[in-house]
Amino acid sequence: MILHIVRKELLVNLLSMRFLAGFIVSALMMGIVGYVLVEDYAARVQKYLADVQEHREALAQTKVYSTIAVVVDIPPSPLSVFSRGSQDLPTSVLVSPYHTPSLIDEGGGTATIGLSGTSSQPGNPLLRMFSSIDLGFVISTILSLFAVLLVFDSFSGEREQGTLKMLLSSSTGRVHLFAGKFLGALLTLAIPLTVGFLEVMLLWALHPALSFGGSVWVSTGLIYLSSLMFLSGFLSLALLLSLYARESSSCLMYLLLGWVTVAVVIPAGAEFIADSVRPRGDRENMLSESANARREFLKVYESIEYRQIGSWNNVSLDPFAGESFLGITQEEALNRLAYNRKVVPMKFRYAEERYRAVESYAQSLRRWGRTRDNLMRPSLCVVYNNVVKAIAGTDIDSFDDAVQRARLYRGAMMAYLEPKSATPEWFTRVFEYPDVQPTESNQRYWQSLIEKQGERAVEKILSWDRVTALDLASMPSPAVGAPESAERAAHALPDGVILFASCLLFIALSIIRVLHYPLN
Amino acid sequence: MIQAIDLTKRYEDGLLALDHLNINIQPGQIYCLLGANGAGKTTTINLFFNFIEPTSGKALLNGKDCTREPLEAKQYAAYVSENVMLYGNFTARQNLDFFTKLAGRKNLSKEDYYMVMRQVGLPERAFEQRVKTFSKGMRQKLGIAIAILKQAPALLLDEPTSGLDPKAGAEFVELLLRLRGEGKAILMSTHDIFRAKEIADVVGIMKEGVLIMEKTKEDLKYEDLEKLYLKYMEVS
Repeated sequence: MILHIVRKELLVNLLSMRFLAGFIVSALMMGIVGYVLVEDYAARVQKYLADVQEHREALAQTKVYSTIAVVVDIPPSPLSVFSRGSQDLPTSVLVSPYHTPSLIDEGGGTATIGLSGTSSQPGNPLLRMFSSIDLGFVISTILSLFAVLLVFDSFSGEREQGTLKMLLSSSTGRVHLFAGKFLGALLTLAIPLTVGFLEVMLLWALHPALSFGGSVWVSTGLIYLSSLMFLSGFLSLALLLSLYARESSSCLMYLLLGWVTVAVVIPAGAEFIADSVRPRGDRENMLSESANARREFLKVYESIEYRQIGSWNNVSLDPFAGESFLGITQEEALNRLAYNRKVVPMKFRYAEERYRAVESYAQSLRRWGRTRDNLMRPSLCVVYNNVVKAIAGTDIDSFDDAVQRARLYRGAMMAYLEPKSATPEWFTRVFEYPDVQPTESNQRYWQSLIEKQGERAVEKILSWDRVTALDLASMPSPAVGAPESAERAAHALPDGVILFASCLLFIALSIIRVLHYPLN
Repeated sequence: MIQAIDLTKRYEDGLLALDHLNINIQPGQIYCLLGANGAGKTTTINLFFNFIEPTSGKALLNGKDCTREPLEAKQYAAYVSENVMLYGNFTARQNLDFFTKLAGRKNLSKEDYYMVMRQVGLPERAFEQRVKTFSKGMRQKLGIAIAILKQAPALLLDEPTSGLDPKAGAEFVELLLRLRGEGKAILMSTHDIFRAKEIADVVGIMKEGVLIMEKTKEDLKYEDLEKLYLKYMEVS
């Protein structure tokens, strides 16, 4: 019985002009957006690979331990075609002895973003709504609108026409009728949705620079199922309203109002409400705390007396970073080593204090973000976008996880580096290259060399280029990458449950209504 | 076959649309319900198909309670409305196919559908034509074709001849008589007194939800139904 109704609904929908128009618009939009974003992803993959190579080479050229800085590159998500996520998320995280990675970085590393998952400039939230056009956006706006237009007159229209009485005069149960209408509309919507997904998969398959593993296909399947669930929610909501409306025209008006509320007003309004319910952390306060920590550090740092007993040249000194001495006498190097035993732990502590100031701000922003997200959750569009973002691994939590892993990695790196800070290789290689020492005899030799071969000859001797790189084979390697698909699915679970529950709720309410739907 | 026992319907706004209606229509009998607009004729038919729920009393089809067992009860009845509305983008045959499958009849061939459409007097060219191009008379005939294919023993028609031209009306009546001959129990609401007198085995006149008169064909043999109708309508 249901199958006959499904088949009829499908046929009626497919023969309608509204389907043709909706299909063309959505297939075009999904094709264009898909093409642009697949190309964008391919470009970002190229940049990522180049960055990884560059950073690997830079690390392999490290001459002293104190200047070690590992830049952990975060690979772009192939699923970013479905959700680009926050536009201002960085693509790499800096890990060094003097910098602890944080979600919010006040300028200590490459990871500099304004706010967890939000724009750093509050500005006009309506503009933020449309800042990221991806397939998730197309599905949550174009296809949801399509769903509304497809079923707004499903019951009210048939009642107006008189076909509903014909339907119910047969031995068709009302619940069967609802189920048939719902499934018929869902199958109709599944056509443009499937075409959109096939377009993306075709673009992936045809792109010469792209190839994906099984997890991408599994995640794509999950996004497809989530999209169907989202459209089911919208359909059941639209059907519910169609069951309450006396006339199709008024039903369409209510549904369009509802659509604007769900797709635009709630997401935009939530940011304003969240600001009044739970104010965002004070960035100025964080910067001031950070500046205080810096002043305190400098005060103590400068109070530690350093008596230079030998000479040096070709030196890089920075109280907030590593240091390197090439032209330093061995005597002075030993003197510096003794000084470093007091200063280097202080620098490490300062990095932690700065991190704490920044992290406390990040926590307040996370809380604000959670309040805002909860306020947005009455919108099915937001819930759906959260699910897609989480599965695609482009949500703020996935980035937060990457930062968290970078921080854990820093712990392992510090366990490796801290013993090294008590060795001369922390800042110099003069014991392996004694001819760089600015001793009287060396200086006489350099003078004679300059006279014979010119200054270039001495510059060559005093260049870091001739110093072999450190053997970092035993240093732990960063294991920061994209989260696994299972992990991403776990991130998506809470919003997935909300989506599913909303869908069930609307269906249950519609069934209750349809059982008592008057046909007089 | 078609039975109403103290069937009453009061709408939510307090209007008493039907007040303790008692009728009993046997197989092979045509019962015509006459009455002005708002007399309760359509409400009566709506109650038999469970389009609305009764306030009290029972509507029975072949003994099955239309409120308690609506799906079972509806198996025994077919419905033809004043203005048969079907799916305009479907052809006549596609509409027949859909509604007969909903009625639980399967494995009907294209020829079966054509045969019924011929039987109700639809022209051959209309069989594969989209219904949105049909005249009202053609749609009414298609409605009867659906009812015939359902093979239900009872037929409930809500002013089926209203708006039909005289020829179409006469063809429609002919069809009903044929169905009566096949043993169908037919309940028809109508404003058409002359047609009612012509085909009805029993005529009921309703006023403000009450069945104020019920007479058999024999009772009406020597009476003028029009005068009788007007007389009952005038009585306050």
